[in-house]
Amino acid sequence: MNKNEKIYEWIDRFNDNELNGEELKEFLKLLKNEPALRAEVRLDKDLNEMLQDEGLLSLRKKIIELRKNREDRGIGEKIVLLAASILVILVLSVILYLVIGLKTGNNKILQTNNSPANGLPINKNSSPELNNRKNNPGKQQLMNDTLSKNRPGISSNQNQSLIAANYKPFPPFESLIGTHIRSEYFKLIEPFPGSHFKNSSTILFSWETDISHPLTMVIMDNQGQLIFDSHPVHDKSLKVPSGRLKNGLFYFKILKEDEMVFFGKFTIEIK
Amino acid sequence: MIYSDENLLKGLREHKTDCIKFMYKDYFPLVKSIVTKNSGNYQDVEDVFQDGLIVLYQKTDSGSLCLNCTLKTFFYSVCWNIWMQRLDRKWRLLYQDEILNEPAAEYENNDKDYDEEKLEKLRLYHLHFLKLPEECQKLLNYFVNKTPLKVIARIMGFKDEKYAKTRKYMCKNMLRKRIMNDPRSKSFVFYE
Repeated sequence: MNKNEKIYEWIDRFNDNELNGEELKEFLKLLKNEPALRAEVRLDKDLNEMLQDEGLLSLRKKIIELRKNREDRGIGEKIVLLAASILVILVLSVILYLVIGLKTGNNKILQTNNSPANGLPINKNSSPELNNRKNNPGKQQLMNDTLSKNRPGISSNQNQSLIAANYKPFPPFESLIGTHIRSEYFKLIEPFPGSHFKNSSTILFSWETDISHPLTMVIMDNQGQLIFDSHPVHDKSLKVPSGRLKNGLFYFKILKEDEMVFFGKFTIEIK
Repeated sequence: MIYSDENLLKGLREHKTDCIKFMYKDYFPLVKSIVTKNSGNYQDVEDVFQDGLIVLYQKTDSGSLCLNCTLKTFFYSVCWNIWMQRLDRKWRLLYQDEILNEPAAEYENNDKDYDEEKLEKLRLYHLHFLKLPEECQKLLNYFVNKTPLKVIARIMGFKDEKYAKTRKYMCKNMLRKRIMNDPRSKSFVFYE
């Protein structure tokens, strides 16, 4: 045992009243000369008293544990709050990005629809109405306005779809275009094939024929629905007010009783 | 759950976690208000709160607690006194020369059953003891409980009784050194 260890032992034994004889004498001499040792002896005595009260020590242990838990929970809560804040910011950013993105996208679509001078190529295969819309944005706007007024609750896009639908060719009729009777002479003079009419004008149908029997004419829309059925025509012409027709693609049939003499088509456009 | 004053004191005496948690929840804000409004920081709040609980425990345990107000009011008064005494002591430590001859301030509650300096000392001792290695804590507890050396050596797996005693000196010495090296202990360890 070295000197230090001996001193530690003496301190402990001194406070436990176990030091005696020469050892006690020597220790007291040391105590007299060394204030640090005196402080250590006093501290040891205090510690002995502290250790005696186990209940208090155990209570302190419990308090410290609870305090640590509180602090840990506090840190945990802070981390959760931070994570939640980051998540909220992230979600808001995504929402904002989507909203801004959609707005920008809509603007681009509008620009595409309204401005022919946007540098985008025009689809040559698109319908005349579509081409017209591309070439005449003002007219398109007017058309949209008119349609919106006429059909409340229907959006501009829906109207555009409906208009496009009116010009969609009806396949069963398309194959009949230009068909005419072969047993007798018949030549359609007006309208010219593929004519476009304004819906405020009058459509003149005229023809040359050897057929002496009165002819009738029927007009169908692009769904094959009968729109107009004329009285028997004795002359070689017939005027149909196009105002009675909505805009779109129409097919017409000139009949001799029930026999088809000629089949053709025309379109009506909004003024 | 809400505890009555009696239940709280009983729970504190029995070290019931729920009661101490309740006091942390219900009484801690009071202490925080006392300390932070009087030049203290969060660490001071924690210390004063712990000291207040210790005073309450000691008084309950010794049977010297006589409540003539609510427990909360009593606890508030204890913590107020602890903090005021501590502030006074710190002030005196800071300006020793200037106020050497001035008497120490007297506070409303002249209860001499607790001394804030002793409470601080006790807290420091407890903290350092609880930071000792588990083996040292056990060993010192055995010695305090007057467990025979032979039994200690057997339980702790030491080769003989002499080694058990040497280990005790070592552990005690470790505890003393840790306390003496703690700057917070300077005011009461070297008081000559």
